[in-house]
Amino acid sequence: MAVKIPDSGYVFVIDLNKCIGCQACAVACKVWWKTDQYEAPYIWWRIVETRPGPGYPKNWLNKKMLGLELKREDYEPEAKFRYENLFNNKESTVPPRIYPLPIPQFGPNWDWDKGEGNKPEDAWFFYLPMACMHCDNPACLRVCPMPGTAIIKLPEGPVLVNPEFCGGCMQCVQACPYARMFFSFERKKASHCIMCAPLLERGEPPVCVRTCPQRAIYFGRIDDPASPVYVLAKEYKVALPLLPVLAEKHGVVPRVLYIPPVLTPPKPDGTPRYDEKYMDLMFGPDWRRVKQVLEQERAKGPKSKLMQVLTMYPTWKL
Amino acid sequence: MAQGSSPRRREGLLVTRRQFLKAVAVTAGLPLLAKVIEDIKKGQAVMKTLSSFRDSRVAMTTMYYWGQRVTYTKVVRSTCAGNCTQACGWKAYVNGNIIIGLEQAADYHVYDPVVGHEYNPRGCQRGASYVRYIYGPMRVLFPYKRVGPRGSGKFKRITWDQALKEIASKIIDIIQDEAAKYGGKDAGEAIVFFSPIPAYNYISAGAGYRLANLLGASGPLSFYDWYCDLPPGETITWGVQTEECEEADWLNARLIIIWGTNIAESRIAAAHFITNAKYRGTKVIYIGTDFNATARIADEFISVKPGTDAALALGVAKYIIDNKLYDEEYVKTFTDMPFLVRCDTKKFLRESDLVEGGSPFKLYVWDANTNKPVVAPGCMGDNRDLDLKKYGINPVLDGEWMVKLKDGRMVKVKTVFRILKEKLAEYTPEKVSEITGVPPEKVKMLGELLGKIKPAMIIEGGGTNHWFNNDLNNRSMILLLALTGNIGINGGNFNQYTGQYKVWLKGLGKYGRILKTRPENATLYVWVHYYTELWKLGKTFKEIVADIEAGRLTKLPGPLPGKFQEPVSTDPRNVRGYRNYLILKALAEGWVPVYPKPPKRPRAMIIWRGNFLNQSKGGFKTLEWFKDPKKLELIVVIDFRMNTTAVFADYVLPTATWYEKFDIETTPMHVYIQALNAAAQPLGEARSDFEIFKMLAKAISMEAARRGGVRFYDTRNKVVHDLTKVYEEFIDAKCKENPFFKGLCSEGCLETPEMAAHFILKHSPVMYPDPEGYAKYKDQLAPEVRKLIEEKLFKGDVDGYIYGLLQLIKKHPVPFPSAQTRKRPHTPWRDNVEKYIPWPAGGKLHYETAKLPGGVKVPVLFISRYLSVVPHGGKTLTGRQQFYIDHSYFLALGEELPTYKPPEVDPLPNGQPAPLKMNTPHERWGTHSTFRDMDLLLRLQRYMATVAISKEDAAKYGIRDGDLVEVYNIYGSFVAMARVLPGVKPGEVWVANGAEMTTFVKGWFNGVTPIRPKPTQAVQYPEEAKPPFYHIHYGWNLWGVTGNECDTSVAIRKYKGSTP
Repeated sequence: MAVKIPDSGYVFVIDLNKCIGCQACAVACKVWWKTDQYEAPYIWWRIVETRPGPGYPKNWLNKKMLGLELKREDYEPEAKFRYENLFNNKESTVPPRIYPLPIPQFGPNWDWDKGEGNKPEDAWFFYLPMACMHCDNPACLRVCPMPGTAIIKLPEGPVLVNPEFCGGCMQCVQACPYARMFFSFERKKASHCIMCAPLLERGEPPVCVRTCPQRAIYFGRIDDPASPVYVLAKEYKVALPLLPVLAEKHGVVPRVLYIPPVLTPPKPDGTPRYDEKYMDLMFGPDWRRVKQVLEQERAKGPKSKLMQVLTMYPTWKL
Repeated sequence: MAQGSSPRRREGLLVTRRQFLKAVAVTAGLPLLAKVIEDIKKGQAVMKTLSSFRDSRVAMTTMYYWGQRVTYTKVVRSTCAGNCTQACGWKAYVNGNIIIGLEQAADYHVYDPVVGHEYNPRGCQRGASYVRYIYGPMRVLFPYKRVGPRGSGKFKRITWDQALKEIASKIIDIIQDEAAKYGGKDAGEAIVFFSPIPAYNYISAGAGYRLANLLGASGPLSFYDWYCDLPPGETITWGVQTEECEEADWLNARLIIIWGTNIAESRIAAAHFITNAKYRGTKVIYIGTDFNATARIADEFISVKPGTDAALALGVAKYIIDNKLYDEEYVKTFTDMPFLVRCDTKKFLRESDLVEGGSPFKLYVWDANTNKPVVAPGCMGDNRDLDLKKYGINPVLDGEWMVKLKDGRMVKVKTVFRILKEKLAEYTPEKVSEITGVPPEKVKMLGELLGKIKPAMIIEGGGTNHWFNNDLNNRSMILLLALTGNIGINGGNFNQYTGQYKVWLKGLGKYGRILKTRPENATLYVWVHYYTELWKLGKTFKEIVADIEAGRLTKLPGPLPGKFQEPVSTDPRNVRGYRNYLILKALAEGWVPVYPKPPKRPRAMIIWRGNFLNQSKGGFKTLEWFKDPKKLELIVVIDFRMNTTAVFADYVLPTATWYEKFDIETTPMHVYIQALNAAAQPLGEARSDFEIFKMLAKAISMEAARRGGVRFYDTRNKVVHDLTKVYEEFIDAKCKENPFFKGLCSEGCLETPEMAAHFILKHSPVMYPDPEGYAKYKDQLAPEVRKLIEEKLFKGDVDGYIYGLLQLIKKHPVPFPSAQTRKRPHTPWRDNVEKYIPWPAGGKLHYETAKLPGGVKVPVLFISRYLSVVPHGGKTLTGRQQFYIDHSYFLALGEELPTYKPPEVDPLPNGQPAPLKMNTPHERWGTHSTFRDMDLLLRLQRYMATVAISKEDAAKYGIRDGDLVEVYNIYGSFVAMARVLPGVKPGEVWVANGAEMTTFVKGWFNGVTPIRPKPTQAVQYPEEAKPPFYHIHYGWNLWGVTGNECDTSVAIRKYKGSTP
């Protein structure tokens, strides 16, 4: 594995065996940071994708693999719900209808719970929470015409945009290998997950970490042996960078690591439900070793340190 | 940019002073910089985590830019109250009077030294999105009056004064008209009150129930049975509403079978208990139709054809019995398996069969020691406990004998176990596989696992409970756990969590005076009045039944005309007609109450905290009533959002949201009591539900006085209603009910929600410690609670104790002191197994109390301290978990033992059977209809109502993903967007339970559902006169006919019409 795991600063580890696709992190992020009002409704700093699937923005993975640019139509369309009809209906329908017209043909989470397969016996999908990876050597920062001003990188890890200084050239949006830099096409400003830096500064973990009802998002300093992220990423090495091919190609070192979704029920004939090629693409070949480690440790029960960390709360140590 | 790849930049922060100043000067200007520096200085003390912010002024500026969005002045803890059963605590971050963000309170450990962090953080995306309701465009901010036809969405804003006066006036008009028609008696009956699930806010619900009582109205209508969340099999087997363990006990299971409940979507706050148990070594099996979020987190996923679950369970039961994997001692002691049944009548052998003057409530087992039938200790007519060894009895489990009746005849008797074995013979793995689609080896695997891993639990849910034969599903599943001795131990039990049904706080009934109103079964209320329109016959139930028996009546007036009219018949071969006859007979017998009774009919509905119309099974008929002001003359909806029912209302009154009022909340999923607190003042002119009912009570009293007094006699409750006194009774003006506040109140001792909360808590036995367990378990109590117990309660200051507890509850969740002075985690039936107490509550023991120091009396048994045991109950007929029911209805329908019956089928307009099953699961984007109209969550689910369909069926019917499709049957149709999903079972389509009518292109999901009442759920048992206890008896939300909908069958086609 060529992609490095950071040696210091803050790191997220997300357990994809636990994630249930509820979007609590995405909703909490939207509500707390009010991106609908301040940036644009279609800007979802954090979103949970159903994989395999188009993801959000639409088909970003294919586009990034092929080097294609992201455009406005790859994001959620403008959708106006007709709530005013509930009180003062100008239309003749009884009862009034509130869904938007024209009916959108794409949106965030459009293909939730779809994935691959043909019937329940062989269907397969997993949930992939996505947000800025807060990479070291960030691709966005490298292309920014105002580096260190419009986009800054802090030694503790966070990559931050300051929209006040952003000129709106959109280069960072196209440069981010994970398509997590968003762009307000109306305001001509880039923005992305800020690791809840103002909260972090107060000594509180990011909103998504606290909100995850599944306790699936771990957060802490990767150089602190008492931190759960250290145990997961360094000690047991069960947390892997996403899409190592892309990370390598762009020379980035992501700070969001994933425990691959290897604990799924087998098909009725006993064969694994997942698509190995897809797993290789998403996590590199190392997911096989992770599977072994998880299964071995699970067999040990609650006395396994790894299992203790995987069931612990709080999931963060700042 | 070339700069970008410089080594220095890669290391991290890299901003030169020159760049920084340039940037600031260009875009922001110097005043901002000064402000930033000033702010930073002020906040320096807290800047510890991100040390780097101190190093860079650019970072500071950036931080300031983002930090402004998350500025708040106070944090208030409240509780999410959406009837999703989870009852999660949330903190509201408030800036001024505006809630800027919500975060899980994650404080379940504060007053609970036992369970610690296990329940944290608790809360899901729905709860997190709630701010969008408070400030959203669907929020009702002012009183509204309808100005267009019903449902047209044309309203005008009116003042509170006008709204209250007009509503009060219309209510009194109806009452006076009814009084004139019916000789001044029961004049309030035509006004019907509905508010579901009091447990998610006791006071908001209770205030309306109290007003209903004072008006002599009908209702409150039930909801738990109506919504089909009530598992009737539990009442049939155990004589209770629903008994389940708290979530924390899932961690004690070694085997968890999740059966027909999509925990990862509908129980999101609880789902981590599954993944945590799994990581700690528990095997998790998911049995359901679809591959979904819950299937993903299981070790094994078993896909079963819709509605065939009972066959699977019985196949597993057969395997367990055939391979002797059952727990023989347990089965002999705690189940009815050794009981003797007469082969001629199929009824239990009773003492009255054998001895002149013998009791019909004494039943027999065959004792191996004496080789003769002996009265089973602890059965309904026997006062002993279940400790058979103590009585020297060793019952034979499997056998048949001849016994001599009192008239000298010899009859054959068999044990229930023998009959069960004979019945199960047909459920071979191969046959079960044919019915269910589950491979035979998986049936065997389930049997092996259940037989060998202990403790094992089944977590059941709506997926198997919302069926016509839900009682058979429940009973088959309970059977598996009873056979393997998994009922009554930690980590075991059949745990059915659907709806926030459990009323832990019995004081609610006292505050809302529910039993003194007209509590009734909503399913039959809707079936009788809206669906079949029996009032049109102009006869009473008894007359209707007589007409059927005489062959004079063969069809009911509704719901459909012509050949699809509901038949009635005393001939069992006329399946539907016979069922309808049995239902009507049960109504005539008074086994299930419905008010008003035909030929009277309802004329007004007051609905709050619920979306009655949208959620009404048989919705196509209910809609007719809601559209027609001649049928329902007055519809008042009290809600914070413009839901579908509100759109059809005459008056919509704005209520406070969950973060704008005080209330109390509990759930069956854990044993904490929590508060809702007002983080902000209600927006616009919204008022809390309590305040609205108080204002309405006043308006009614004033209007009655203006008309010179309105009085009528209530024959059910034997009281005279004087409407001029409604207000003073509502607020307890005489301070008789809640004397603690005498002298502290301005008008009455129940004038505020806090006073009502005090009253409810004080009259709820779970709020007091366990008389027996206190000494042993007092260390489990938080010091704050213990102090209150020892310094207040035990010194006789009960009000001081309750007052003190309420102050704690406002801050953080408090485990019920009763539960906390026993072994945690809570799981049911432990007392019965450990102390050999007859099911469910030891008969007489159910009514016994013990005195605490200080004088408060508390029921001896934990189960008797909350609402669970059916009214007049305490014992099942056999005193055990009872699988054989010898009620005439059960025998007539062949359901004396758990059995499998195929799902019902509905016709298409052409009379052909509809090919697809329509499931209405509770999925993640809503809690029933709540959240289903919220923009933020709609955007995550294709902006509108959707129908999920399998790849196979989509191909068959020419449907592509994203198409608009019409789903239809004889009752109606709806149009929504198709989602073609590989995980969906062929033969089934599903649409989210609760999708609002306003999010469909046409119709809505309940427009295609019928009401299909099941006669076995309308019974009273035992049938013999004057039993010492009832095993099954009507109880408001404890037992009643369920409003099932999963049997609904439909067809689907591409929609080509317009999109309004």
